[in-house]
Amino acid sequence: MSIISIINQKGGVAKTTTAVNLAYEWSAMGKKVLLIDLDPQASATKSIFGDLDFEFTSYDVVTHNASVKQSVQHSERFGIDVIPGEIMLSGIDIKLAAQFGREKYLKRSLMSVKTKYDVVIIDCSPTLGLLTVNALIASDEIVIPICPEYFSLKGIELILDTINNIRAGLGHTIKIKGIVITRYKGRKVIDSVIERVEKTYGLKVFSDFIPDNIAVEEAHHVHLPVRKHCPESKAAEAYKNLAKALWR
Amino acid sequence: MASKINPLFQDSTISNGSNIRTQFELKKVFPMEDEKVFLSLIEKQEKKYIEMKCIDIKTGTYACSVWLKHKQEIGYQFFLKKEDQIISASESQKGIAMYTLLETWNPIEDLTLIEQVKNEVQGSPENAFVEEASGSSISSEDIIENLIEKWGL
Repeated sequence: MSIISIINQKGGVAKTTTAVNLAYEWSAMGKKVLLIDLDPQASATKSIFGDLDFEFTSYDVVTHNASVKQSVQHSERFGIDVIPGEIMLSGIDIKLAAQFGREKYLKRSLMSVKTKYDVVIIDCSPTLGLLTVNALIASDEIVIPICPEYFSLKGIELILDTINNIRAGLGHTIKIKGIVITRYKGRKVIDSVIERVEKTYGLKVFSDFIPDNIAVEEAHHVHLPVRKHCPESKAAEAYKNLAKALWR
Repeated sequence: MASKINPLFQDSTISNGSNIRTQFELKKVFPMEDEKVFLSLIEKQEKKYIEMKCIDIKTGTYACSVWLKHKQEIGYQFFLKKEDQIISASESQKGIAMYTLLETWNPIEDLTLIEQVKNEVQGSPENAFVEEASGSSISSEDIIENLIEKWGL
């Protein structure tokens, strides 16, 4: 089982869209997928289930109040298992601050399902706190979505700093699988951005850019993956190809 | 003064002074074939020298790991040695023992400082040179493969 966090400490870079659509695409490739919504805004949960409420959420899993098994919800439409998020997640730093092993709570919970899934995707919160540290400690790899309009090398430096701090202070090494360009509108800025990212940081930038496409937004509203909602759209094609490239 | 540590990145399962294996990694160092990379480490006023092994030839990353006390203050410096001669050295630095210490090779150009390092190393007892395990070092096959990729041999 591989655990991949979708992370960027900047907001509005299509983390959730990338997480839910990759989850669907991998499921369509025949993989057993678990998606964990670790964002207090619970956007992934709302995108998949609408306004449903759940007895147990990722808050309960991280705080060991409920097991993964108790908290999992299955989505027929996406063909995946989901641990929903909720606003309670915003209080997790206070809840866990004084706990022994506070940074490994999620990792410990996920041990119980390590043979059940091929891949676990974690949709991270854009803030850096114990919740994100728990996600990173549980993860083998990360994927960084970047929106060229908001692109800054500082944003990437922030993530690399976090990864290095986790390695130095907590002894956990995380592989950066690569950077996904989202909300892509045109070639203009991209080439220099890619060159800078690859040269300065040695990071891989996936060549399947996710276009700024209305189908993506519509898919969230009808609680479907973009390829089911609008199979002919460029965004659907891009996510399909990205999922294949990321799986390799 | 040693650098600050963000409490968010502190291992809550070990207490200060517990033994931890600290991995030193030095990036962007490309020694000649007959040169060796060393870490000079000061802990509790005792100095020791540890040879670092190449773990990634593409990024020029050398590493070694040492048992230290968690959060203990340490001093360290890197140098290149050819036979018994010190070729170049980095500035000496202070730090706090954690799981990994990452540095980029940045040799000093002041010849008097290099001379100082030479004298220190040469004046050290034989047992100051200790062997410590490195991370997974690369094999000679890796080096050849990299040369073929780089030079098209």
